[in-house]
Amino acid sequence: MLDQPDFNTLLEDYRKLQLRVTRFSHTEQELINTRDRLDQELVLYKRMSDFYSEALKCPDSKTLLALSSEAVVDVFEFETAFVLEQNIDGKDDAQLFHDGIEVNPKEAQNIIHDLELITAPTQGVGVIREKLNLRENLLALKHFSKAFFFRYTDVESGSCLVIIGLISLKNLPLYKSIDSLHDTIFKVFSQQVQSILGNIKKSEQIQQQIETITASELELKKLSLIATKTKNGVIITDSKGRIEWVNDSFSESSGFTLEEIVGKKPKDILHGSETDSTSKEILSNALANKENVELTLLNYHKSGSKYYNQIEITPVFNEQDELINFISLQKDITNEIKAKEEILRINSRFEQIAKKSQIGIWELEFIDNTIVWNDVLLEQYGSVKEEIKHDLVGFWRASIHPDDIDRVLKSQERLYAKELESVEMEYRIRRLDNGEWRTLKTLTICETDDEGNILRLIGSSIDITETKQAQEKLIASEEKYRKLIENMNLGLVETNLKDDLVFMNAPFFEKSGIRHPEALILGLEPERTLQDRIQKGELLSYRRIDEAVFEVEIENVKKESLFLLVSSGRVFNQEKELSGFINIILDITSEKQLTKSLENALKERDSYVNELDSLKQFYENVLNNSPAKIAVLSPKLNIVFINKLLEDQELNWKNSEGKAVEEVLKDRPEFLAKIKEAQKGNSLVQMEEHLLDKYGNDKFVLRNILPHLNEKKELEYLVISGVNITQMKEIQNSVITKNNELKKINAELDNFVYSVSHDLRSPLLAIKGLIHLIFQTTTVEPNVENYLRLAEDSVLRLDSTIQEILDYSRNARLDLSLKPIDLAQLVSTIFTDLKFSAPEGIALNMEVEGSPIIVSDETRMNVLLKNIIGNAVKYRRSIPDAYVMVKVFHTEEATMIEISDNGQGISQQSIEKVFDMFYRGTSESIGTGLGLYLCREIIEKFGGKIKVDAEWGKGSTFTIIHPHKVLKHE
Amino acid sequence: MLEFFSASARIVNSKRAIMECMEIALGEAYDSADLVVINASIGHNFQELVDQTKAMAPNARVLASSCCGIVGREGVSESMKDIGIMAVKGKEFHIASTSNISGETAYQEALKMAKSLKEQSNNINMVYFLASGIDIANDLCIQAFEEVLGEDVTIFGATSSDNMKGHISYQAVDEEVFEHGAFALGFSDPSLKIETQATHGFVAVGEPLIVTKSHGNTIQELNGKPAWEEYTGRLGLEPSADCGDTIPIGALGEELSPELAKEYGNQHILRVVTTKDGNDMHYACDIPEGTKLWLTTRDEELIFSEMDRMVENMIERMGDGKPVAVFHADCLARGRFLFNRIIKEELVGKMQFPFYQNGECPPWLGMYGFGEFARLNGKNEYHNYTTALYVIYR
Repeated sequence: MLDQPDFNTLLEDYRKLQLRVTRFSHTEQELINTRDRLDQELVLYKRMSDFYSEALKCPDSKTLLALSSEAVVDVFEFETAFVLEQNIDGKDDAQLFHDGIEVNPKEAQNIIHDLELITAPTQGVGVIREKLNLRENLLALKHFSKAFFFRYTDVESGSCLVIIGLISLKNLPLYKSIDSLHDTIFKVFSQQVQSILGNIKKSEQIQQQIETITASELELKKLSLIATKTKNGVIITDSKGRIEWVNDSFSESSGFTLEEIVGKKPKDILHGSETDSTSKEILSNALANKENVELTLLNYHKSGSKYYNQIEITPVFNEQDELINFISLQKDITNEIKAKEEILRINSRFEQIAKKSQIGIWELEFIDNTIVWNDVLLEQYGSVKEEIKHDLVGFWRASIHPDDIDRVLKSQERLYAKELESVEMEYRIRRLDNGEWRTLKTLTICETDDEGNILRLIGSSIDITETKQAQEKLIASEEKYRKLIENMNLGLVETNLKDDLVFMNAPFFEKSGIRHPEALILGLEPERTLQDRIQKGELLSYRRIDEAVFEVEIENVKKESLFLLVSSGRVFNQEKELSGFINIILDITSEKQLTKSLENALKERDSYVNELDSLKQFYENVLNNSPAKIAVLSPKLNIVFINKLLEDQELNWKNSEGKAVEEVLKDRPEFLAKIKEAQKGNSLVQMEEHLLDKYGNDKFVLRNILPHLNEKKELEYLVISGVNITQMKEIQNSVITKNNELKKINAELDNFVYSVSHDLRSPLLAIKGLIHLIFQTTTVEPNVENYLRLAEDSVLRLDSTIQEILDYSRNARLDLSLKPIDLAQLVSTIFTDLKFSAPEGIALNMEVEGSPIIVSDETRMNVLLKNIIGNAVKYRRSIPDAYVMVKVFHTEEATMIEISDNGQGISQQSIEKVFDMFYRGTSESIGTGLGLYLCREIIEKFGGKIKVDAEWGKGSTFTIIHPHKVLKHE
Repeated sequence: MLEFFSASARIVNSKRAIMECMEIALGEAYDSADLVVINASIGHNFQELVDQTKAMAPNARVLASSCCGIVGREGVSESMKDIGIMAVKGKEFHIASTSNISGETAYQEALKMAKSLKEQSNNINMVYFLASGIDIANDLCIQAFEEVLGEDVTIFGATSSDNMKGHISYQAVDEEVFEHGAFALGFSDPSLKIETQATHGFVAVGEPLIVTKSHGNTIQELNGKPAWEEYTGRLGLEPSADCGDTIPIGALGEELSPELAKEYGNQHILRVVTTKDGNDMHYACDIPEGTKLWLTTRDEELIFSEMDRMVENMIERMGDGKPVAVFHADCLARGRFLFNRIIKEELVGKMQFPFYQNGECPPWLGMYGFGEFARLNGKNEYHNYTTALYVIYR
């Protein structure tokens, strides 16, 4: 055994050892940190080395700057980085890169401004360790706190390079501190970037020069290629106009090779006798004045053949503005000239054709407002060219008939508005020479370019005066006959041999509303045609009356059937040949309908008679097959009907139909009296009749005597029905007997449960008392005390279980004992009892809104509240503010008692089962699983409800809904 | 049937980084993705990442979270600008999310997410859960998911991190970026199965610290003294130290039952302290008073041997199943703050190589985060300081 000082020393040593053991981890970690820092530096150098390898491969300065701006972040782990390269004086060429991406010039402006503010006039590396964000005048970078930068200005090349890594104020806690190591490495990194950039820029300059030279050479090559390969002829002369060079196309079109004509003047070899002298003079003057000239000339081929050239000559001057060459471009346009001549020839022939067919033609050019027309047009208007040449349009308008002028001009306007591409019209004009009115048929066509602008109008006109007059006569004659036929009350349809409608007197068909008049054209084979049209649904039916006369049924637009008498005839032309068919139609619908309605009335009568018979048969079947015995009596109590069951089972009813019921039931006066009661009172009368069957057994029959009244409340007949209720009677008696037996057993069972539970409690309470006595009177060994405490706990738990069984038994067994009870007092008593169950303290609170008095069963309410409040205390959490709160308030229908706590709560899985018998939330639950089941039984006995709302780990709320009026249930 | 494609890269510009990954993973058909899960270092701009992903694959759902480094098929990278993606084609997935989760609200928010997933599908058989790693009660999240979806549904995933500063972490769902959010990605492809396991390889040292006062997931007192002072004192640090100083050396171990310890290969499960408030420490789970917490130290030999054992066990349990995608969560303290580059790459090689199919690594998305979810003894569990592998196979 150690004495006290030695023990304390030992304890102190042990504590120190503890610290050393754990601090060893710290020391070990320090070593690891050092090793890892070296490892990180190695990583940093490796990343730098990777960057250099990539940088040396960069094809241009832009790629290098982009890569550098990315590498600053990657290598040094800054939050972000910018790299700027710009001229010292003119800043238009500034290139700014951000994390590997070039910033567009608009966004770059503010950033460049800030970079200047931060880095100038430093040369080399600079560090702003914090509070960059507090600097005034920053535009884009004011949210950054730390900066590490490099600035190098090369006066010789006039350029400035800025590299900057930044960390924002927001993300400052996330980033490593910037130390002196960074300082050196960043400097090395930046200088390397600057050096590589210098080299790349030099090589870019050389590359640019090479590209310029190559481009000039290429340009020259292109020009000479164009001159050689163009399809136009090219002549280059000296300042005196002597040929120095011609291309292959010129040789091809003129027949002269370069060797043949070098040193000569073009005019000496190309011009001939028919070359236009005026053009030659223009050409000559332009060359003398050293000016550009463009013209068309007739030239001569080496062989002597002629060809047309479109020529453009340009003088070429040197840098001293001295004339050194003329370049002449010559395009052979012989084919185009020939095509123009061909068009003129075709136009002339077309003019001849128009004249012969008496078609007037005109053309109005919109560009220069010129009009051309042919002689036929003048002839149609009775005029000569001279009289109208100044104002053709005015002359034309003045000639038009006043009734037609508006219509014609409107059509013309639609053409100008490009609503129409062409207009065809008929209108009258007055000839200028003799004042005669003539009718013209005209066509005007509008020609437009690709953009829709009108280029020209082209028109034609034919004099149709004679044709028009003949047509009008014909129409007048036709109209006369049409009216005649239309006024007849007969339908008339005429067709040609192709079944095309030639004539139809429409008023007849409009009046009758026939939808398919064409269906009445019967043709060469009328009967076959009729059959076809029925199949197509155009006709409903037909009946032959005579060889060519038929009665036809057709549907009109109102879907009514029409009956028509159709007579089919043939039409022959002047040559006595069959040319068509004519059908005459007479409407006979009204006569037909009269006949039909007579027939229908007869059919309807027969149908009603049949229906009545069938209905009677149906009801007789129903009554005969009914499980009840049925008899029907007349108001005078004669038997009208009895069903088979009654006739078979009750002998005195047999063959009784037609007899008086008094005679049939003369030996059953009670029954007869009831029938008379129903007859007199006009209401249902019931009676139970006790009979004996043919074997002498008891038989009970329930009789219903139902009077049937008509609409005037007069008795129409009495229906007597009888149902055998013998079996039902027997079952009823058996149920009453069984129920009495069950009540007795229940009472005995309740007594048994009560007695057993009560008897079990007595010895338990004795054990409890004895244990208590041991503790009071005897000092026991600690381990024995533990055993006794365990025994005491078990006794208490068993006692609690028995108590709950007793409560359950009482609730089921005893009637409700209702009286006014004070809920506040009841809850206070429960709180006082429970305070001992929570030694470390739990706040037990109560709030009562309104009266605390309710009418209920005090014993049951005590059990109910004790259980729920007890649970809240039992399953509390070890937290400082643990509480149970009981709130009482009233609604219109019930008193609400809300018990809430912030204890362990109930999980989602358990919440639906807590009121089940013997359900316990977990195996650690302290209770028997009967408590909440009993609570629900009690509140349901009151006619109320109980609800729970809970959350695991947060607490529970039980709500008791106690009705204001508790009903006693037996 | 779901198909998986992965890629990883270290590119400074966030938009270019995601473009590169989408093209590596899906080639020209990058617009065919139905889902893109992104892990990116804290230095990336998360809004740009998700916007660019949506621009490239307008029909895809996008999920993203911050981390301290990436593990992909291409290997390990730990910088401020790493990115890894897992692109998915197919429709048998469901997403629920919250914009704000903390230790106080962890159960409620997880419960809402679980109910949302349940409403979307009754056939969810695994959930990839990714939550803010700063102040969260991870055990209550698991409890909530299990209450709704049942204990048979595997919860796997991680908690997002920064670069071990305990300052901020990001999560994104479609176009929205959160700072204390979480998302749950439920898979309902019946042809898929999953194997998960975690290992750490630390050993407990000295006498335990006893939690004498706590509330929820906050430890207020250790050994009857203010928690942070006692904790840093035992670590040999000044009380002014922050979580960045304690995380590498201050792994706390809770004792496991013998049967759990057998599967785990260790007698202690480790927990991290991610943030503090004065002397109060925010622990990774709810912690009752009386809990014993051991300080631990790493055992390099054990780390390697346990990694081998874990991978062997997983392959044995998979039987004939072929891996189609591997999600992977590693504690950031196991990254560059604990191992040098060579050891780390060797360790990653050991976990990847056994899953190769025909000489090729399966699609792989790993991150260095604050914590890991993986099953232990058939039950969903939360871990710290571990390597946790989630092998999805058919």
